Amino acid sequence: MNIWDVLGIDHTDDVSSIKKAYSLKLRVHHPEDDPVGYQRLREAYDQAVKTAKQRSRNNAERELAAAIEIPRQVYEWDEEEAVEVEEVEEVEEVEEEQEEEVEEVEEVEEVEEEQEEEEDEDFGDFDAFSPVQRWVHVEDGPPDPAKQLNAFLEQAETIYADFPARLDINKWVELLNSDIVWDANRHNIASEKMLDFLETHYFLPGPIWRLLDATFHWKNRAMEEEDFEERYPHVHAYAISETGAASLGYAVLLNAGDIDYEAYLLLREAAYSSLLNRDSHEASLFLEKANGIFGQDPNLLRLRFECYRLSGDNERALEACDEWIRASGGDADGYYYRALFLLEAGKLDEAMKDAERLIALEPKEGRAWSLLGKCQFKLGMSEQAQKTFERLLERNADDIEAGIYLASIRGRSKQHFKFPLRSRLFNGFATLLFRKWLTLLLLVATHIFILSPVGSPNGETPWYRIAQFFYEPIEDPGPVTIRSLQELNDLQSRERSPVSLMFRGATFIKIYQFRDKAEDGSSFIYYMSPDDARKNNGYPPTTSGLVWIGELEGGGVVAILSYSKNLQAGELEGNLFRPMPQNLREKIDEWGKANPDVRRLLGDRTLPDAYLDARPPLNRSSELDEEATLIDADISVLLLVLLYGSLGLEIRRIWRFILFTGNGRTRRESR
Amino acid sequence: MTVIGIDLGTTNSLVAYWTEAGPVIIPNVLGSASTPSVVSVDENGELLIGHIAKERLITHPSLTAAAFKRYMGTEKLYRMGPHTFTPEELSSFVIRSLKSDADAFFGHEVTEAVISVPAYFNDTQRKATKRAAELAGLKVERLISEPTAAALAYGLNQQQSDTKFLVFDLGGGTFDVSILEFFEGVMEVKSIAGDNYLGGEDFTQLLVSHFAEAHGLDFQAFELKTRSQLLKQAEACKLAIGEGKDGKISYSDSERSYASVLTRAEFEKIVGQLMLRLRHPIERALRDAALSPEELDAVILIGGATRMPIIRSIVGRMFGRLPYTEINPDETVALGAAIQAALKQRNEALSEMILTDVCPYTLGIETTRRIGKGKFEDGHFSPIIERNTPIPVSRVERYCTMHDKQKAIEVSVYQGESRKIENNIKIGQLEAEVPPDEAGNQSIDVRFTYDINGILEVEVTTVSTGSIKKIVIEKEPGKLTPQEIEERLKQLHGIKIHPRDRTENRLLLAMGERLYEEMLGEKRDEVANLLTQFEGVLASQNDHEVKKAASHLKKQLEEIERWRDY
Repeated sequence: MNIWDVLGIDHTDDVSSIKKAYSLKLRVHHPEDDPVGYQRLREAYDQAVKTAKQRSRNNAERELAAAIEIPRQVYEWDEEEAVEVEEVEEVEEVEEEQEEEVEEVEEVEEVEEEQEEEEDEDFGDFDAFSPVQRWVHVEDGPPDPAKQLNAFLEQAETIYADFPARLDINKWVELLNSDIVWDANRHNIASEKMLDFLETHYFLPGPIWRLLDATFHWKNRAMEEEDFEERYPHVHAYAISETGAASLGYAVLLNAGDIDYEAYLLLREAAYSSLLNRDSHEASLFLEKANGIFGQDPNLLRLRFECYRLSGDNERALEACDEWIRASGGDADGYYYRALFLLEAGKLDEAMKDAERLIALEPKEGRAWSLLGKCQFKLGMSEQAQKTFERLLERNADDIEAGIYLASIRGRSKQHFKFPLRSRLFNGFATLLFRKWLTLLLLVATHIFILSPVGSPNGETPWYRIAQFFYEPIEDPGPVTIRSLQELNDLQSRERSPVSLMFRGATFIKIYQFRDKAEDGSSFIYYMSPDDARKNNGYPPTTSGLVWIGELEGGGVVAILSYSKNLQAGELEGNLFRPMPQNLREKIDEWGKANPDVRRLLGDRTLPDAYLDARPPLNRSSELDEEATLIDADISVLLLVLLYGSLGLEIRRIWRFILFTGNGRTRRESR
Repeated sequence: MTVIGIDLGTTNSLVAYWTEAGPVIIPNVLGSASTPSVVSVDENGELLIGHIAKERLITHPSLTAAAFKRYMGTEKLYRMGPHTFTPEELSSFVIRSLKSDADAFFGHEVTEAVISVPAYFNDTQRKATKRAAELAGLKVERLISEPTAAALAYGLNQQQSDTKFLVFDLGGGTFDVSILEFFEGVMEVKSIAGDNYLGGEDFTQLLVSHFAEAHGLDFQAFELKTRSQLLKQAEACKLAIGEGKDGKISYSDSERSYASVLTRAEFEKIVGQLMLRLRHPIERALRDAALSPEELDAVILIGGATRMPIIRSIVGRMFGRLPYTEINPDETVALGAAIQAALKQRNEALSEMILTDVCPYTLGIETTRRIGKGKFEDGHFSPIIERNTPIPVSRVERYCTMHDKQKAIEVSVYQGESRKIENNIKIGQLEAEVPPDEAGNQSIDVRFTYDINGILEVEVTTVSTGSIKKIVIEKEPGKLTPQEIEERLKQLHGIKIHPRDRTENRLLLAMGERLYEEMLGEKRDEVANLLTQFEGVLASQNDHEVKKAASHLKKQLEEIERWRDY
């Protein structure tokens, strides 16, 4: 459905018949009753009117082009056309200008008289915003817009070219109060032309930029038009973002006499932007050139100061700053930056003097007081600094810097030491209890668990197992090497100790060890000599070990091994147990009496009350048991570690807290 | 059933109705056309509205609220004696006062009204206005923007068809520019623009600041009472200059007195900065309507502040023609609202005219843009309904996901004209779930539907699943449920409003109290005497006597006021 179907008419360029059709259809698609229908109708209508207007405009232009001699009346927003018109008309009409003006004045007076009668003097003495001439023009047909625009721009150029006039805001107020700016019809083109002009002529003080913005609303445009900054980078920098060198003043240049202002200002700006880019070398080149044109500009001296500071040349920076202050006749900025500089360099007394001078200059400015406070703070004048910062905060509650300084002064001062240590400790403890009661409870429970034999069949507590786990590898790094009986006897008397015995030789004495189960289920160990075997008609089938006697220096010792192959000299590793079980000793004595080999081995020496068990571990199951208990232990250990860890962190925090409020100063100084 | 039209202004409010002969203003109990939009609380906790309250601005500034329309739709609270009110509640009192005037005028209760709001009011402010009427017991189906109302008032006077107007409305607190076209029985709003914080009161404020600055006084340090007094003087000064005289402001403290005399030229220099602010909305409205000034057939001035000659001159310079001021600029809007009320009822006399309006702001959502590989820049504003689009309107735009496996798209709704959302106002938010997928594969359709009352509905459809999420933008801090409205209504009805028939007596007393404070010495004693006598008569409750005493007192007080300055 095309727009003409929606409107219910044939294609036409006649706006009034489009309107008539629209109005008729509107009664069907009333905006209140049929929003969707209305929207479709409205869009069709707008499109139709737009097309019709565009076509009739094109036609008109074609006609105009045909009759090129007739000067066009420019009421388009299009600047290009306006420019064309300017060029065409300028030449012809310059001579007529004067006559026209005379006529205009007469007419204005007439109209004003009429107004006075009708409007009760309403418009009679309206001078501040200049005369009411435009009414005359309406009746007479519009004035020549291009000429007015030209005159306006020429005036702007004249003001800009005359340096003192350029800095005089009243000249600009007057310019911007001209009819062309007020005229809603031509305001836009004036704005465009001004933008073009100022983009290349932008050395204007801040207040004039603000006046221009209030007049032309460029800030709004910059917000809405994406390419504004691209098209007018300088206007953007100076009027909108205010990042340009606009902060550098111009007024001093009035005393410069006859210099090339533009060249100087360009160099100064170049130096400024090099400094912004932190290129001190480039900046110094520009500064030197600018200095060659005019050396008395405090702004330039300021830039030089910044330049030296950037390059790290502190001495010359200070010199430049002194010069800046001198040249500016005691500029507040100068004192401020010098004081900051001195403060950084650690020259506190001098900084303090500058801060005081600054306060005398601008007693209402926060920065002056902030500076004073910093000096006092660094000089250790805590009380004065506190007062200064308190005053700053009172004035501006959002002054974060002052707040930070104040906090550190208070932390430093003694007034918070009033809590005695005991009450702080008590507080700390109470906090600990309050925050960590659950952890503490769990800790106690875990301890009770690992210390109690609950759930363990052999009466071993988890703690014991843990102790075993940690104890053995740490306390006994390896078996002790023993060469003589003396060393064996010297070995600390313990139930079981891992040893490595260096035998000269060892003999199996034919006594066997057996393990059996009693009726009550408990296992017991017994030994059999060949005599017993004979009585018994043989050995039971399950030997658990063979009894040997090993020869050490100074005597023999009993060893239980799992094999019977004879040993020459060698090393046997195993656990040394004490005492020797009674039944084993009896068996050896008994068999020794009967067997000459054994008698020879023993001689008349007595056996030590210990034996070496050098068998490999008997069954895997006991090992598995051990692993299981280790896992048990692991879990409780892990729990303990976690609980102690969390407790430890809390204690550390509370400790810090106690230390900080209690002894903040020593802590800070010890750092 | 009569439907009334109400102009709820920042400084003054009016009520009007439609007769066969055209719209007519309903006078208030004191016989004047306008009722000041001021509310005050007296010693007994009773509410005083209108002229009496205005008098009390000086004597009891902390118990009196004015210019609350500026804060309509915000959470600002006014503490007045035992009560705390929101701006919409205060407005409801003014509406109630206007309603009771209309009730008395017709002899029966009026239940429905059309209320005017500034064209630039946003959705929240419009809803607050509607609620204010609900709290006052009036049904409001239709709000009308003030310039539209004004154009209606003029549109009737104009016999020729196909007319394009610009309405320049500088009221107490707001500045609105609207361009309208009237043709073939259609009133079409082409564009509107404005400044919500520019009005006649800024001129007054500027005069006071200038005065304080010239004498080295700190205005902010003054007591409320002193400030009110100064503002009142500045207002008088402004009016005097408007009448072609010189304006005066004076102030005295215990030590010395200060006085300034302002000529018209000086005044115009002081307010020059405000003049510059008038220009931008006008340019914008013209640009949006794609019109040049000479295509306009008329420029209409409405709003009390347009009585200032400087405004008329400025408008003359900008448009190259004299503006229309045939209808009293104060009454235009109320009359237009009454016409709209009649239109609403499809009254025979006006059945021909159809009104089409536009949306005052650009509405859109926040989007993130990809700038180069893997780099994103968020905070961009993507408009869906451009400002000055004819309403009702419904527009849809499609947006797609930004990240792989994104689960949801957050739709933040903004209004404003900047490319960056940080400069615009957030008015709502909703979240649409999308199936996780590669970036850019999933998309949503965001539909904005803006209805004829300026209420926005946002509907988000997930394209792949077809699931729909919808909100009617509710950035309404004081949004009440029907039950809550009922409750609040009961509470408000519990607060006594001073009986209407005794209004005049209260006004006299309030006026007397003000004079007492402004006078010194003998004259002060005289006022005190008069007031005591009158209070004695009031206590007798003899209606006849009271009336006589009242008219006597009125004359006396007026006499005193007239000679006050000598």
